Amino acid sequence: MALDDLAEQLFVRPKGFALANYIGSDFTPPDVRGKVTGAAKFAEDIRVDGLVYARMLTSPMPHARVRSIDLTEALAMEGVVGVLTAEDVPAAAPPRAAILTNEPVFVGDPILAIAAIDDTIATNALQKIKIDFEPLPFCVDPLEALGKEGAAARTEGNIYAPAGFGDDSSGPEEFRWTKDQLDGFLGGEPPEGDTPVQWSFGDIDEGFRQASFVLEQNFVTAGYAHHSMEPRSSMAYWQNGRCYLHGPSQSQSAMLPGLAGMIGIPVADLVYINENCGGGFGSRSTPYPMLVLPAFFSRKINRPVALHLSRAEEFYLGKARSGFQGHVKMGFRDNGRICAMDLFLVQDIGCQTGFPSAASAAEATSLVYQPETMRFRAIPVMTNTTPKGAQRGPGQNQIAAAIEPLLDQAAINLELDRLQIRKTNAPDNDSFHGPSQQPITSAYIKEALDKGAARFNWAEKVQRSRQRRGSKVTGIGVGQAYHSAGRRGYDGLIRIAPDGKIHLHSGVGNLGTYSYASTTRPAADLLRCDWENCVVHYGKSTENLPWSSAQNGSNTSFTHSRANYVAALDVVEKIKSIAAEKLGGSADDYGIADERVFSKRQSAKSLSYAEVAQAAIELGGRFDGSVVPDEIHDVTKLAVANLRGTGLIGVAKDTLAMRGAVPALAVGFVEIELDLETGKYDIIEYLGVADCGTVVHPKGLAAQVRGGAVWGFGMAGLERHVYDRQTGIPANVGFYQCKPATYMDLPDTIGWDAVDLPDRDNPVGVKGIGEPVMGCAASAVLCAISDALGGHVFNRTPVTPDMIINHVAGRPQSTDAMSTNTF
Amino acid sequence: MSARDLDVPVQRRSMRFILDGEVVEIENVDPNRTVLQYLREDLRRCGTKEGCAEGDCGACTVVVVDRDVSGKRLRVRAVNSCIQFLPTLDGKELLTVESLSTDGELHPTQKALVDCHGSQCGFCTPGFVMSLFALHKNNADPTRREIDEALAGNLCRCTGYSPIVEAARVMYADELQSKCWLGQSRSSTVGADEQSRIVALNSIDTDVPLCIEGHGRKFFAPRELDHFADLVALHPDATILSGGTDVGLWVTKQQRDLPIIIYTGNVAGLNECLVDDGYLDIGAAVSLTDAMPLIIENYPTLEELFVRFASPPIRNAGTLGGNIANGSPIGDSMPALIVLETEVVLRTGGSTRSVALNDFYLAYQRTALRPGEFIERIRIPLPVEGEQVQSYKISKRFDQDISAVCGAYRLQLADGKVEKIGVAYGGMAAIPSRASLCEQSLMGQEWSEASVSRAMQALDKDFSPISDMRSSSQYRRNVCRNLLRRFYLETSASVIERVYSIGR
Repeated sequence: MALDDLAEQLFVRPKGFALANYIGSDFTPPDVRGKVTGAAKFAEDIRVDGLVYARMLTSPMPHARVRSIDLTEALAMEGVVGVLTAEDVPAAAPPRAAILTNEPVFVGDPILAIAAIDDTIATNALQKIKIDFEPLPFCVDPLEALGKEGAAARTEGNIYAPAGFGDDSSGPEEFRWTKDQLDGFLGGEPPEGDTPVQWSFGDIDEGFRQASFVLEQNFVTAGYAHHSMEPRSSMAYWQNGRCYLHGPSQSQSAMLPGLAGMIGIPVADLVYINENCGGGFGSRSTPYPMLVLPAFFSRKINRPVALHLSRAEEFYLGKARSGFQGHVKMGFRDNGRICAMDLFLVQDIGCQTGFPSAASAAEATSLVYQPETMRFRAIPVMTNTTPKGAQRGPGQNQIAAAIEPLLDQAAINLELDRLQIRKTNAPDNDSFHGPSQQPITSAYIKEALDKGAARFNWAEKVQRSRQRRGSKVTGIGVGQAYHSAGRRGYDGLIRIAPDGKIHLHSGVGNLGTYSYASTTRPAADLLRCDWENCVVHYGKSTENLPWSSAQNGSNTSFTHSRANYVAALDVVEKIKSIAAEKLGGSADDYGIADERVFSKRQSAKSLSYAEVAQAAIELGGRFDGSVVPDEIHDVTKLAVANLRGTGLIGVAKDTLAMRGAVPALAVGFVEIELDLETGKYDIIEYLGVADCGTVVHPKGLAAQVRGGAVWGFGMAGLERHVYDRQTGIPANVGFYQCKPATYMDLPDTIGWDAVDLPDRDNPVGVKGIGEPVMGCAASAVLCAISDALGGHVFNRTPVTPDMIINHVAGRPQSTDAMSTNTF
Repeated sequence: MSARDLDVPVQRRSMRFILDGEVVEIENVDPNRTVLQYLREDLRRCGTKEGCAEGDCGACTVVVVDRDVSGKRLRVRAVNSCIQFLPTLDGKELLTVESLSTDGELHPTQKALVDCHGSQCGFCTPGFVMSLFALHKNNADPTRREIDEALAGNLCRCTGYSPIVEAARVMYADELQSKCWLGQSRSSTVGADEQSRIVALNSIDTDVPLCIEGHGRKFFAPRELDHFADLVALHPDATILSGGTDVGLWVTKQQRDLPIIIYTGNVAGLNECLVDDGYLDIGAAVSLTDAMPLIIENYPTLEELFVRFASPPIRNAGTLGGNIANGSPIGDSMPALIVLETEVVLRTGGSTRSVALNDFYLAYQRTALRPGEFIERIRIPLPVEGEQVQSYKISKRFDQDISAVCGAYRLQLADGKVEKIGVAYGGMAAIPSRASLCEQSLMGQEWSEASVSRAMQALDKDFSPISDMRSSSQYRRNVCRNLLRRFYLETSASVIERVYSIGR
């Protein structure tokens, strides 16, 4: 259905209907009270009778083969009730993640689990296990693994380059560069070796020929852990052949097929409870092995089993951002327009499948800078480091951090204003992106730059660039970032009960953004009902939840405002049809307001929603969920089957038009003060401005912009993986070692704003925003550091005090130019 | 139990504390059990969360209430329950996130967090609630800086902190109208609720020392210094426990078994803080939170150092004595205390000896403490008129971080020349230590750019720092020199901005 058609439908609603009732207004999410009182239950808080506690034995080596395991002493301990080994769980085809393995490929890879009547006994039992390993070759730096002599992370190969996202057939491969090719790149030369991944558009050679200024740099961005506050836990038990599984995940309904598949049961036999998820940031949006381990263990020992990960295990298994070792060459015209972009990335994908972050980086580059011609090449290399996955702007944010400071360098060389060069290259509604130059739904980044520049007083602040006060120097920076932010094709489900309550069933996960609730508000709006009379159902599959997108990729606001919208349209249509059936006339004769349906000609002729719901039950068929549209997902059909006959059921799949990718765009402005004697800097002021379409939930948006900024500050200056090259052991696994920014590292206030212009393909105009608000902050800070240092670009994240002091002292840096995972 | 353990006529075998207004009495407690484990596993009271089990994130923050030294007011402290051993609660009141809302009514702290959208994923929230609650109880009108300090021990990955700071302000507007102590911030007078809590704490107070045996382990909490000294002499291999901010991690992270623990917290003689005979005399069991004001009052320039010391919950539990005894090469207090010519009073049985802190550290994590000996007091000389003292901590994060370099300086000039100089560093060697060659090069010299430049060169000979993940050796060399220069610039009145400034 096109939005034009929708507008027509909107038009026939009663006069005086205002779409803005719940859009753009704050609300108190229903679950927040439990979070401040401690009543909210996370997976590790669930206790059931007979529960036993599992602890895992994980690999102390980065790559090894288990020769033998002696469990005699451990199993003889009082209170120990069982063991789960790799033989008890399905094998995984490399490089896919195994639940348990006898060939661990990173420090912390789980080998077995022991269950006991309490957590302490289980922990102590692990100490009694005798295990013999055969150490295998390992690598922690992708470039080493790419060379002829380098160890491969997997016995089956050193890279993993699937044909596409979701390709399940490929496995690790051998892919090597010659010594000359590698040495050249390590020495700062452009990459000359082959790449398994590449695409291009336009004639890039011609693009560079037309350039009046060409900029070429190697760069390194560090990988690092998510550090969600909740170390993941899960608990499972079986009852009458059904598996009851508690666990944290960003998503809810989207988890079901994958989890059921991993456990080996039909979706109908899985009850998945995930009311609260203590942070995800990309690490928990899809099913993961540790979530189902207790299901296997519980089935084996016939008792409820809980598994709680320690902070260190959360580091090992919680996934991490991919690091890049890359090269970029950009050609600029006199006016700053980018006429050629050549991007090369070696992506550290860890020891499993990783996430296609390099491809995301390339897509972002093509969108944010709109190069006239572009070539992208990449090598996804495996290392024996913690498994990599999606982390808040996976690829998009690293590339923002790498390229934005170079844009400033180009501006300096071309004598252009740093804002202007960004606006010159910025996308708009008519822009295209990616290898096949697909259209987009909307882009207002120029407006965001203008709005931010005005509020930040950019013109005035840049006058302070590089000013010295004692040993301190001021740096001013602006950064941009992008992430796709919307999908289509998911289901909405609404029920009006005979008591008049409006039940909004949300299959969206509760990862802390409250989008599970905020995306239902357009439906409440459309139904002209009191939000206080609505009940939002979420967090448990027993709540009868519709099929939903995974809560990742900043997509939920766009995707599920649409899904709830189409479900609400279905409800409205059914309400009017029932009114026509009961009160005469045709559906078009009726309007809705104040939870009543009434005749437009005789307003006294009306029914309450409660009466309509009762009538729906009497009428049955499509009205009470007895008959459902074919196109809705099986998960939704299961939910509706449970609700059938309990009220008026509105259910629909989102088939609204969508012209292309949905760009979430964000810009950040920052002022820093850098101390040339210590290499430390203070962030004095920060402002983030979002292009997220219409603002739906202001406080939620503020938290995204500000929270994302804090992540960005961490990326720019604090967070990175450190691995001992001799042993493959990670050196920083805890909070204080990994150094996510604390409250005291922030400026006094973190300002936020939004363009607040509606997206063209969302009925309420909203787009997601969670991810680019980080990348713009990281890149703004890096640009400010460069600014403070007279334009010097480190070509690295994070930029540490060490690097700054070395630069100021005119000394070589402490680590090799292209090495990674080092301190 | 040996006869000597029983020299004190009566010892209690069970611990008592107050929770939700009820006295909880427990026997056979495992001395290695943490408060968090007790809450979550034994009581199934799961509002308090485990985020890291090493005092890093604050998700496990609870509030411990006892009486202050006067016995007439309550002392309300946020602590990390994940590294606090359960028997240390003896004689105190414990408040958790579940304690605050009464009859369905949210505490002002909780309501403010709801109203300000200060909770997102919610896992850190119970910890923030308790840190804010402690602030609310201790400070009726906090400044922004005081709010900053109160929240510094809690990590949040979602909100960007701004709404939580806002909640810290809004919660005062939301104070309940009732006179309930729980609902109101601390006032200058003792209200009825505070008084009733003091009465309750008095009711479980006793001079009888605690001696717990459980799960094959012992926990002694003596009351008298002589008894403490006897116990330590009798059990030279015992773990002396003060705040537990380091010892707790031995159990939660290293899975070490601590079979005998002797706790300093209830020993009156170790918990005094006074000015005596030209010294600040700080008992080894005095918490950093209690010791800080006295030190800062006398050495105001050290304020930033102590504000950046770990985090408030760690400072509430951790002690200066423990920090010194652990002998970490990068402990933040040591360089400053060394240049101040601090002495530590060591005691074995009935005899004491005094050792200069500079001589206390022998090698990496080895100290002058002999078997059966313990730190009784820390004696910091009072400031001398005209001297200038400073300490700079350089770490990646502002707080909750370990120094790459921590430098401390003390200078006395006479006629523009250096009459007395103390320069000490942490992070530059295996122990915190003075920079002797640097000091020698400055003694008797003009306090000038030239002599400081020479002294900066001398630092290169004083130290051969290592590279580690906190920084490279070259960075340490460079910054240790620059910090000396910074001290020169600040003391020569020519400049300048501080390295880092608090209360932004």
